[in-house]
Amino acid sequence: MPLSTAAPQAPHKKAPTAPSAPKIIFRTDGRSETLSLAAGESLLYVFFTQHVGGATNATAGTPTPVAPATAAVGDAKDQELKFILQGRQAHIEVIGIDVARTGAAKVKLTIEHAQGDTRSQAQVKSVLGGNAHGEVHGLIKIDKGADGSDAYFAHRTLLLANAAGKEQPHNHTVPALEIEANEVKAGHASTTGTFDIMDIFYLLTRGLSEEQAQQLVLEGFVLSALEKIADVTTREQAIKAAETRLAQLQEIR
Amino acid sequence: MPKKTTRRTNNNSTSATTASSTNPIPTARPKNIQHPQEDYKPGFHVQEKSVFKTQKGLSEDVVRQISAHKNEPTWMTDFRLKAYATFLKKRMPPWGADLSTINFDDIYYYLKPVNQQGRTWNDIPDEIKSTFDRLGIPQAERRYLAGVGAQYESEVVYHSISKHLEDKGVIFMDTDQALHKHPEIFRKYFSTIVPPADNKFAALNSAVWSGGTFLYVPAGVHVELPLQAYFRINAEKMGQFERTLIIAEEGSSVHYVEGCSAPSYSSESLHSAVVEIVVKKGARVQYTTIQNWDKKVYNLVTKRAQAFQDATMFWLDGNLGSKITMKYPSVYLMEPGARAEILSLAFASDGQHQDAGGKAIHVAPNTTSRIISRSISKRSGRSSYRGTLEVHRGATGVKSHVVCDALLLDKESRSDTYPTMKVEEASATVEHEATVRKISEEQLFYLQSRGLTEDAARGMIVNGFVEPIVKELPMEYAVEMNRLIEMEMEGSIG
Repeated sequence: MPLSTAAPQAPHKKAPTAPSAPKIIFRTDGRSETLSLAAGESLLYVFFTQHVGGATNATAGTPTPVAPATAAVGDAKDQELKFILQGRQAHIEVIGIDVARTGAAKVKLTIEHAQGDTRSQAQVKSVLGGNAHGEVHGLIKIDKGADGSDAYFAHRTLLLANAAGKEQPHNHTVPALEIEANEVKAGHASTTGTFDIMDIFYLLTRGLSEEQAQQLVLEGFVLSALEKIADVTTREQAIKAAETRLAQLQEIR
Repeated sequence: MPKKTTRRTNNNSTSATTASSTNPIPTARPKNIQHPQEDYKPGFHVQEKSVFKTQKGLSEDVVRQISAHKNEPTWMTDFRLKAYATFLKKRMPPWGADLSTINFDDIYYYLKPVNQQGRTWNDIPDEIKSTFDRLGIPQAERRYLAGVGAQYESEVVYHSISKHLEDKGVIFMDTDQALHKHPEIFRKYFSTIVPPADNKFAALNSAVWSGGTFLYVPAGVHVELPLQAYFRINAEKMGQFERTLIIAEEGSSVHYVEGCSAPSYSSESLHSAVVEIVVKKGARVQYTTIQNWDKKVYNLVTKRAQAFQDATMFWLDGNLGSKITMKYPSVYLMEPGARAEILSLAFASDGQHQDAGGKAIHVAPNTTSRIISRSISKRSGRSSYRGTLEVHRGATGVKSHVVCDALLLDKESRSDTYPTMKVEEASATVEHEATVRKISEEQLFYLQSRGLTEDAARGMIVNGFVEPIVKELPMEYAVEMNRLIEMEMEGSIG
């Protein structure tokens, strides 16, 4: 290999900037909206999905509703959320929670880095039981010239298995990337599965029943996304909304 | 290896001069990517000597002519005609790369260069032999190859199978021959994995297919050496529609390698192949492709395998050339224990769009899949990963892992990732992750501080980036790949 006598340049490291207090938006109505962030703006967007259709009532203690879901995926109202980072140093954090035992929900999340030196972190956590159907699209788009962008999207789904032969929940996830600038960091991850057998086993060895163990893991799965919210009011609001939905889930389990 | 010298004419005109049959004179200019064989410059072609060529464009008449010229049984002629009707009805895919400039009327769909298929290298006409020599099949290597099939224009010109394989009952011949010599096996599997109605280009291939490989491995037979075939597109506006069918019976194993090259022309070429593979219980098939088509070629391929109980299907897909590639090798995991491995490597440079990826469809329980994609985009190239992961109802205990990494080398480069996961069983464990980044400054700095130039450092880093895929290639391809990448990286700065 040819040897070079020129002194190499040390990599340039940027000094971290102090974050400004983020604006917070909290939604549980499943609405679609498009928001633009200007330079230096910081936004925390927390949303809970709305499932459409499905069995309208399920009495406590009964197993999974065997009655067919009244809504197919096509009927689900698309929840379209678009965030455009238009000014430098803009920062968006999205936390989405999708907990359902029936019905269908379709979320189309798009985060566009129109300017460089912007950051985005998006995470969606889904818990699907019964015959629920969840569909999450997460597109990260980094435009040409938006160097210095840092984007990450993670979608994690916990599926609650029903007895063999009964209807099962469905998950459809499409994380996507369209990257046209090269001085960027962009990534995404998606996992789908049920309870980790080792997690449950550990809790069983501590004297919990299988139901209790699953409940704890379930709560941890959803609440861990919300417990890190800095603002106290929002955090409590979010945790309460999550707990309500988890309780509804219990009614049929 | 003796050094070969390139012969050039004195005039600078690019029109083909009449070549004598023993010394073909290259007429086209060399392109960016240099083949590691010293004097070979992709982009040359030899004066075309066609024997039979259908008129330009596609019609029912053309389809009948092709079938008649091949002396096919009635069922195949009917199949082709039906597929042609399907092709007319089907629409172009509404997703993927931009295919709007393909003009189906402006292509020759069939061309047969020689009358008889040769048995050894010596039987082949000199000018055609020189094409293969230039592609780099050195005389000495032939001993080590169990069999070589080479397709010139639309027919497999040369095909030799060693006695060893024949004794084992392995059938390795071009698809046209297989239709005549092994009609029962042929008819049993042909178009069962990719039916004509699957997509527009599968329908097109089903109507005008010619050449390709038929590979049948009997139960329990292990073919140790990789079987290879080369393809060439040589005539102006020539389409390539090879049809490959591979059947691995229970407990067998085979590795098939496909590498392509096409010379440079001023108008587009279309390559629309179909590959069908059946991997039966306990068998293993590896299908390796290194695609380095000229940058004018449209490469739209349907590749699909069905893996049965405890079988493994391994796709290794390298996409370096072509103007547009749309290719998503798939595995349908039909019975418990089946396994899919898809390694996809894409390198897109100026004006190229590599839209590649893989699909794993879990139909049966306790099946596993792993997809690794590495893509590189340089200058204005665009690399896209497109994949599907499905876990059907009843497919319990599935484990799947998909990792896509993309490297963007320049400001104008583009990378996309479009994975889809559809899971209908709670017991499945499906994981997907993707990253897009540029070459790490720290890594560059470290290598340069060790005395490497920036170019050399970049080349090394990129080779390391693609290593998980390249290490699965047969050695000569791995070496070629590393060199091709190094050459592509040269001058990637400024």
